[in-house]
Amino acid sequence: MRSRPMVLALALTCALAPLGGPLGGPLAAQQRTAPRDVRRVERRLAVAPDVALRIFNLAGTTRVTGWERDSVVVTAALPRGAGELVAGGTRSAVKIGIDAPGAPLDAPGAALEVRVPRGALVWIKGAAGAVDVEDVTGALDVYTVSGDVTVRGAPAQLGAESMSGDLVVEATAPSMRLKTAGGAITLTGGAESLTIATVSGPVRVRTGPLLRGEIQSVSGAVDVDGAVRAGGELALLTHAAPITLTLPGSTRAELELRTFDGLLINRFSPEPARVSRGKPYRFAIGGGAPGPGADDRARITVRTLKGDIAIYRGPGGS
Amino acid sequence: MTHDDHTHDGPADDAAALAPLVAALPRSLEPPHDLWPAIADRLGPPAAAATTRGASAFLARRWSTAAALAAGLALAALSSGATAWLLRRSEGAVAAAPAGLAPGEAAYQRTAAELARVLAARRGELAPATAATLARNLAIIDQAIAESRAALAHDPGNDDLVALLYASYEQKVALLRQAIDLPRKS
Repeated sequence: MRSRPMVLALALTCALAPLGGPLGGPLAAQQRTAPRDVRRVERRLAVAPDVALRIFNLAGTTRVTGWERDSVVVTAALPRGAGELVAGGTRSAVKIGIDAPGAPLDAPGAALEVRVPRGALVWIKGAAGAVDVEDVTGALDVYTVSGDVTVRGAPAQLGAESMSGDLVVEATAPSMRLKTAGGAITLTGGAESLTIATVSGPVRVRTGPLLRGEIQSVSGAVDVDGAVRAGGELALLTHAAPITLTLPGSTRAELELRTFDGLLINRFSPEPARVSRGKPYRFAIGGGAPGPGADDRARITVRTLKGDIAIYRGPGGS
Repeated sequence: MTHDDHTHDGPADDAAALAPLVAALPRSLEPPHDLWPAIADRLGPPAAAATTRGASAFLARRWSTAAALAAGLALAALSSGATAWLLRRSEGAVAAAPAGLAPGEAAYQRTAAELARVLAARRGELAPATAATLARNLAIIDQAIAESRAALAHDPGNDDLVALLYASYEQKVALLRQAIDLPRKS
């Protein structure tokens, strides 16, 4: 039989454990059972502010949020059969995930929530479940198969890739690389260097001034509303999908547009809409013909085999 | 001794013989920036037999030798294709391409075929929905390639059409690589 002080100490520990600070120890673990056969498991790890994190959760959803503390807190909601939470590593490198050996295809997925230092370098591999990342300022890479990916914040660089999941990015990053096969790509934010590739997913970009942008699609429509910096480059290419480009009225750029079997519409400059009939359509905006100062102009190239090209004048300057 | 003799007279003759070959070499081969990590990953130790879904299977899995070969071919194809196109743009000199093919296209085709072979060996490991998505998008790309090639047949040497054709091939190679790299049963 336990003594009264020991029982009191145990009870106190259990009561305070959920409130424990992140620096309570390098590896403090709590586990409690929730109703309906869903276990909630938590791990806490003290880490460096720029820790490298490798997170995997193939069947369930993953949410990663940056915070100001030098610690990682992982919470997993584990339905029966979803596997076990694994989390461990050092102060500089941590591996977190759901280990589900032998689980059937229709096994339930775990809901994984991870709080990380804002400056962490984060690599996430998902599959069917959605991945949401918020407020991470370190480099970020996210891969899924069919799960949607949402990123908000200002990562140092961003790579996001999915086979059929949608990518929704509301973020700014110096370098951004987004890729899908069939998933839609929606970017609201900005990047100095932007690369987007999709086979059939629609692409919608609302961005601040780009220094270098390259967007490719086979059959997904491309719609870009953004500025290109002086001396910057933007290349848009589709095979059979329409391309819509809206530039600020103050844009200084040399454009080369070419559609082989589509309609070319110029609503930026006073010239009438015209059909290119496979010929390149070159013109400069915001400064007249090439000459002194032409090197400062942005260079914009738009190419498509069968899609229409439409250029519009947006409000304001860059 | 005359110039018709088939003997070597020294380093000068060797250099003369090599000159056209050297001139034909590409000026540079720039690998795609994001290819190396995948290759490096494949150079890891061979995976234990992965028979389970989940993290342990994923962490244990490594690229097969065939996949590494495919990655190498992809690198070669992308590099040679891009270089051939750039040289063609800058110098107007094109190495002879196989009949009916754009320069570098054969390399893309070989790479895609090799990757498809690797993927076929893994096809049973993909979830049905993923396999359907993959098939649908590969069909879209193949149609785009066919249409670009048809357009090139009517307007051979059109740089923009070549760029469109290569873009479709690059999408195909990238999609196949992406599919090969998917976790099991996903």
